[in-house]
Amino acid sequence: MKYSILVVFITTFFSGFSVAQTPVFSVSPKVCVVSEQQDFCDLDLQFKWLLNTYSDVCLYQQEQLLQCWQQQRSGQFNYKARVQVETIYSLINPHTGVLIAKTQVEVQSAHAKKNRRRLRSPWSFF
Amino acid sequence: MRYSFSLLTALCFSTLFACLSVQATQASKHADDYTEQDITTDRLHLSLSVGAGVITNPLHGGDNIPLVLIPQIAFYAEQWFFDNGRLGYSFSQSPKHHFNLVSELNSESRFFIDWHPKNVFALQSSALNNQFVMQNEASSSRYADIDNLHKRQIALDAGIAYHYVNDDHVFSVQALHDITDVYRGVRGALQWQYHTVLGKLKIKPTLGINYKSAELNSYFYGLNEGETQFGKIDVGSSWQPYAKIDARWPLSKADSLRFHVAYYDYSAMDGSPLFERTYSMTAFIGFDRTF
Repeated sequence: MKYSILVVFITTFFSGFSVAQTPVFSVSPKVCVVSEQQDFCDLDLQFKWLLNTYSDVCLYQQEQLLQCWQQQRSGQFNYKARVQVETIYSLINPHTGVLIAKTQVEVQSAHAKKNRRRLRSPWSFF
Repeated sequence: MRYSFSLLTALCFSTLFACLSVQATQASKHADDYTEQDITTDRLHLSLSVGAGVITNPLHGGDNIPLVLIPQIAFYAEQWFFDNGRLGYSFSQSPKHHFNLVSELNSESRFFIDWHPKNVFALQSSALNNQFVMQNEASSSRYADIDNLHKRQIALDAGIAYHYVNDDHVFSVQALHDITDVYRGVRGALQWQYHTVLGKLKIKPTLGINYKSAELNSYFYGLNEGETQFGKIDVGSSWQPYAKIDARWPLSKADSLRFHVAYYDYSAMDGSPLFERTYSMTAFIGFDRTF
């Protein structure tokens, strides 16, 4: 009896950790490399996710809704995207609006542009 | 013209404040998005503003300066730069401090150029009225019409400019000297400019004060012996404050709407017989395209 209580206690203790596990959400590729000739990328993005529980989820590109799924715990989705700036993709619960997980595609330049401080404002003459 | 300017100013301000009030509730700062403070080097930056605007001329008989097409040109190398009429060399650059040698045409002569629409369009002008001002009222008040003065030459100034950058705040000091022997004086300026974003609207309020030496003021705004019946009149040095708001509403990567309002105070020039008003204002509303 004493041992069974101990087993229940340990099981309960560790199950608490499993509930707190964070959802997994990834996109591939993660980087878009732009050049001076072409300042955007046409990418075949592949999203994969694994949630803690079964739930309804919607995938957003920035503020734009891409697709929704019902009662899924894991999923995979392919999407052709034209990426020009750093773009955030989010998994959101459509009923509560709660952000479940997010990932992003970064933009890097193949041609390293050099910037410096502009020392005169446009319209300073006026 | 004065009424159309007031209308334009009111239109600029009302459009600006309408945009501000719409965005006020969701006002947020996206400093990363606001890259106008930096510029790519070794590349020609061209843009053109098209719209309606005016710089009011504070001088007796002076024509207001219409602003319709405004080209903007900038090129920055590692140390040299040319930016809308200013040629400069940065001999010290750090994220906060910038020391530069600069040279540019003196803009005082802009009020003496005949900008009147009669030279562009076949419209009936008010220029005839200007001719009569001095004849009718010269006996009772001491002022001179610029139509009757000798030509003021355009001068080239050179000097030093220092910029202190603290996040979105830019403090500037400059001191320039006439290097073309036209007015043989100096001018300086202190300026604060703030770069901020309200929603999509990018705003730059500016406050500053210009210093102009007695030589500069006397050459441009005084009178030479024999120029008029008043004889020689010298004008002393002056401190002239100014305030500006420049706002840009991006429509796309290359296009934007532009609003610009500026106030230049000339009340310190009361010793000059040339001034009809104690201020000059600029107002512009239009479309901006970057090439």
